[in-house]
Amino acid sequence: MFKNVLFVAALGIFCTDSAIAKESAQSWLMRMHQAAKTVSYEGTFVYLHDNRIETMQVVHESARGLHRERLFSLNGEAREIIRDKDQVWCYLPNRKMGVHEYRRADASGFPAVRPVRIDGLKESYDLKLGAQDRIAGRPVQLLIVKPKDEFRYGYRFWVDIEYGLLLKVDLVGKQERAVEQYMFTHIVVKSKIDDEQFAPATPKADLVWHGDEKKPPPPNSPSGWTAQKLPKGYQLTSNISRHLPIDNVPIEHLVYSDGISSVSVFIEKLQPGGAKPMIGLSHMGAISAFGVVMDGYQITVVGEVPTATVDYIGRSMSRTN
Amino acid sequence: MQVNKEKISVVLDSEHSSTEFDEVMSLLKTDESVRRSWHCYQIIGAAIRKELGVSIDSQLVDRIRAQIEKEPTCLAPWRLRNLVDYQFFKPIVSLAVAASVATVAIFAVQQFELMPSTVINQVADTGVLGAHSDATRWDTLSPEMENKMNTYLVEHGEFTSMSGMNGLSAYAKFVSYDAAP
Repeated sequence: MFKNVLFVAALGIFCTDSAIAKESAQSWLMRMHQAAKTVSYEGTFVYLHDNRIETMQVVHESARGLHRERLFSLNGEAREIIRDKDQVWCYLPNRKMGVHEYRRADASGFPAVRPVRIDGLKESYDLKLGAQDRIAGRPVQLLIVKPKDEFRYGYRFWVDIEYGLLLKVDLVGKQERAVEQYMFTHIVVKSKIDDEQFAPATPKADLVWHGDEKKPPPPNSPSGWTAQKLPKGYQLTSNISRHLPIDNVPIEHLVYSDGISSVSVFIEKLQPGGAKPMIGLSHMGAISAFGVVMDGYQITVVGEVPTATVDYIGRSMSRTN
Repeated sequence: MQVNKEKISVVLDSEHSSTEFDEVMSLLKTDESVRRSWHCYQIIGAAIRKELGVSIDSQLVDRIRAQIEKEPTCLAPWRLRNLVDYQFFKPIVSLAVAASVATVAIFAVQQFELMPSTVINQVADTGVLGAHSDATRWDTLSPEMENKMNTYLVEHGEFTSMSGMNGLSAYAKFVSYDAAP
């Protein structure tokens, strides 16, 4: 395990103990950001939420600025998600269904905190270092991210000291209580991962596929929807218009982020005889959603944030042209 | 079955060859019992290493241990004793134990799997996190809206920052989503 030290050292993320001791919380966030973009690994992680434990196998490759990944559920239905530099495949074997999409985000890598936003985090969070510990047999540094208001969760990040990979996350709600937890129980850093590791367990031919048959055209110009008010620290980070897979309806997708937490706003024109609109709050674990109808459009706000945040942003949406 | 467990053990101990790793991954894809064993090994191994965090019921390991002691069948008594004594001797033998924790956990799991299903459920339901009764389905939504929300979730995952496991968060939710009605 972890025999590829030279490989990672060459990437410039290997640190000595003395250097680690001097690193600030911001530096650790930067290292997490870098590691997510540069380190390849395979492992197993558990996702703990409410009264459930889910175990997932993950293979992640970062090579030459490109990324691909496979997640495979080890519990229950053999769901899996495979994504490469510009496509995502979701396998739902029990439903005999698959969803295929071309990726919307920056193809250069998974979205992550940008350096410029890390300084801005101080506006929304208190950052401090905790104790060093061990996760999955690896030495880790605890990073405590405490929210300054009720519009975001807190976080506890355990970061691999050697590689900078995030090995455990607590999503912290009220009274410092962990709402969700992700944790690697096993991880191996790799210099190269074989193509076979990204092959699906369920043959594609066994499923009925929905979604993009060909690469969608470039996004249309945004239609003018915007949030008139935002909780402190949140900024618009993305705004694109395109067609949603499965039902192929046009939507506008806005993303607001405070640098750690992200909220998506989906705007879709209501169709005569279409699905009943979603109105009000819903949630699934730590994910909150809020729906409202305005000017004949369904506005849906989704994010791994407290309900207050999706409610606040949803109610402040308006069309400016 | 025993052969499969030994193979899993080798992989968990990171002593596998590439062939053995591929073989185990293949078994995980096709064999439910192997998946179940793998899952139990991971959880109990992490519990014994105290890596599940403060939000997990701290008595989980004790419950497993107590249940193992009650079992009339004992496949590996000396290893069981290692597990029972683990916490008492940890300060003294931590280095030695560290090397064998995974093995101990595996034998613990073998016992664990012999438990009546009610006991397994009780352990699995040990208070993990949160207060909601079901967090793997959207509440209040029609099936049609649920499908749409799941699509939104995947779309949102493309733009999720590092709040999850290097961006895995939203995808993990999707993969773990409970499709059962």
